[in-house]
Amino acid sequence: MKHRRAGWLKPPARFLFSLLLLLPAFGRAAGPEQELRRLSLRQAAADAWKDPYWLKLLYYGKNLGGGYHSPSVNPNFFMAKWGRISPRLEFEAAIDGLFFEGPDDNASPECRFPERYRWLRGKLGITPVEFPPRACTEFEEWKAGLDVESVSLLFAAGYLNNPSTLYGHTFLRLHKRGAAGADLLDYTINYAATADTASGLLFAIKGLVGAYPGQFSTIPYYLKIQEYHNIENRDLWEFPLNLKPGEIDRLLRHGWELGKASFPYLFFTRNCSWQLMPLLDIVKPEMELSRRFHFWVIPSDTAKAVITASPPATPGWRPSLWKNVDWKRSQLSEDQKASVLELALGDQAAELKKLRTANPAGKAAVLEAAVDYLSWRFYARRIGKTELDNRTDPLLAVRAPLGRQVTFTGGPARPEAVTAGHESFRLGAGLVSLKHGPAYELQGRFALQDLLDDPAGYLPDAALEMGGLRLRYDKKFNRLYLKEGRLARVISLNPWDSWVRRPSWEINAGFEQADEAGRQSGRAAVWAMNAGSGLAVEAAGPLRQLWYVMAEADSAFGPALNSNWRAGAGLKAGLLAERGAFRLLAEARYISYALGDTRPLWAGSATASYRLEKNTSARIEYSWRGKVKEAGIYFHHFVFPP
Amino acid sequence: MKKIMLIAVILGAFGASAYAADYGSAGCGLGSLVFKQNDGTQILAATTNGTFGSQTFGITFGTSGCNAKGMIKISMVRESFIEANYKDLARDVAAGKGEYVTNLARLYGYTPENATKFAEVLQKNHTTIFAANSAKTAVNEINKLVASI
Repeated sequence: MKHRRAGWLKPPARFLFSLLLLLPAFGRAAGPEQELRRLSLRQAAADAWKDPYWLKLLYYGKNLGGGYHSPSVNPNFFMAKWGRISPRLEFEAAIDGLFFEGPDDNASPECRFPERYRWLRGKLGITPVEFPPRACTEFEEWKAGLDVESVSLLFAAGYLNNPSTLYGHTFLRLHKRGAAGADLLDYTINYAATADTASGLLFAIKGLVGAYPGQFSTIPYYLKIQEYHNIENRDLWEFPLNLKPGEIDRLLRHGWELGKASFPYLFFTRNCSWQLMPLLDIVKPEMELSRRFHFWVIPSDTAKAVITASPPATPGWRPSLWKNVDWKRSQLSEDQKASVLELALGDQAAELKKLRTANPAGKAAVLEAAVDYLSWRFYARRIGKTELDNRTDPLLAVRAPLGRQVTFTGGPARPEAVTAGHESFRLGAGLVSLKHGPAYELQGRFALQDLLDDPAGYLPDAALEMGGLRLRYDKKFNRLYLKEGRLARVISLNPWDSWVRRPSWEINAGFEQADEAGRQSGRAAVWAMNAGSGLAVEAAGPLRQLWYVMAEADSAFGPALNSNWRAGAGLKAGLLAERGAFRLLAEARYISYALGDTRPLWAGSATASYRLEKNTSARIEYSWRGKVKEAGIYFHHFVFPP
Repeated sequence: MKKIMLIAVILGAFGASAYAADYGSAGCGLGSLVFKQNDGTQILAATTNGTFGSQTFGITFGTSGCNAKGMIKISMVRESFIEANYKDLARDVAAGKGEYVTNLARLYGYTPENATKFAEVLQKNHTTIFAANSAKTAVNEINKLVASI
């Protein structure tokens, strides 16, 4: 963009005119002195563009050829035509911008890029006398509107029902000055992809190659609560960053600049969580966050990195909508619970009649619980808006005249924060006993937890695994082979609850050894995909138990199979038991194949795991698959991703 | 027959787990979720498309399909809040307490100390405020009530 505007007067005339009228502000007027001053500024700053802070502010990185490159695909983020690939030209354009003659607001470079110019003025030692500060009313209004007193990092826990946000989400919350309990009125700084309506595979591919632009936005906090707390039923964690006033100002000045940027959004590396890292590095350079991440970025890891780099503080916690309903339910008597169900699902009018004689406090509690339960049913897509209105409105109309009542006290039980959880990357080593001799195993798993890993800080009763590798060396055959190469596995066990009625399910895809095919050890690799859906039931006892059964669909492809493939269905049943650091998983499955290789599969395992410390655990396992049986002992260690 | 049954089960099970994938899509934001046309999200869609200000601010507001920018216009703050949180607000007003009432009280200039009166008046007039199931009506009714306090 050019910053020298053609005036309505010829340059010499304009110079004279300026001298006459604008003597105090002569620095802005275009004239030979100014041209010379501009050139001298450029000369004096010959190497200033190499300043790391300048490179950081524009997100320059080096590409393979050694040249600079900024990822922003939005040209508005740059002042120079070639700004995207040249920090030097961009810097020169910024110097030119000091001489900009148009109106301050919006148009003037200083108002569009307040943090760049704050730094530039300091770097070049420019005095306010020579270049008076611009009056950036729009930016100042925006800043005053946000009126930020403190900033915290918000972490929305993982959510298994939406693949693109399985691993959680992070964003910043800007706490308004003196909000005194009016939390909802704060704003947030959020980075997200602008996705189109493509779904399924196309969406995944586009997400992987960066076809979606990611943008920053300031979304009101109450909308984020609607999104996470209500619609997606997730817990929200809040970690105070304890930023100093100067740091907050920098966040806002640079945030204003980021509104003009858009970056390619890549699910695994440059995702919602990643983009907060360089932003926070600019705000508080000593955090050094971006350099901690290389090949993939998991939101819970970014949250941990930020928390580790911040002064210790007690995190805030906002339980999900369902946790609130569940907690209220736990304070009701059996009769009251039945009454809530009748109001929400049954003959509401009759139940309201019955409630007429109930004591006001008890009645209020039942009504409030029923309204919350209906709200959960709506967001969980069990009922539509019309039914929600028709069932909720009469309940509220009865509740309101009861006036103030003490209904529920306390709050849901707070789980452990993500900081208490193990690291995401798991390394493992194992010693395996096969029928014909020993085998040794090395394991690596990119993310994140299985049913036997300690769930503290993560979703309970769930597995979320990506990129799980098991390399095995079989001594007798002197063979190194891939025992397992899992692309992804997600398991969501939901203890059956008559209020929730949510099935349990799993999906799984990856390479595995189809031992049942009768090949020699390590010669039966197949690509297998399966999915299941069923029920789980929770039972208490010396150990907390979760029994489950699922109908499975299964398919596999590989030369070890007759006709190179098979597809079938079957059943899987299992038990997950836990107490403290100890967990046990026993499961068995029988699959019958209708297509391809029709030999059935009968397989199962029993595994006990013990957490030795936060990031270390040990397992023993016995398993069979077809006629092949094995026993193994494994050692696992979790580390922050390399 | 056995084959057909099995295939049906295979398809059924894959379908059942595929439903998990048939949901929202934007990276990790409100994005596409907001603009998905179904009951669960229409409230949000109305809010983000309708009420939010059109002033040009530094950081764009909203995401896909939504070009509005910046913060909510001062004149629209109360209405936006009521519209976006209608159901939660109706619940809290009926109960005479809760963070949605507290926050609305704040928008009307009350402090936590003197918000009790505000909550009481709203609770007494719950039906008038919320009967029409419209944010606009609710704002007008609340404005009238606040003026009479």
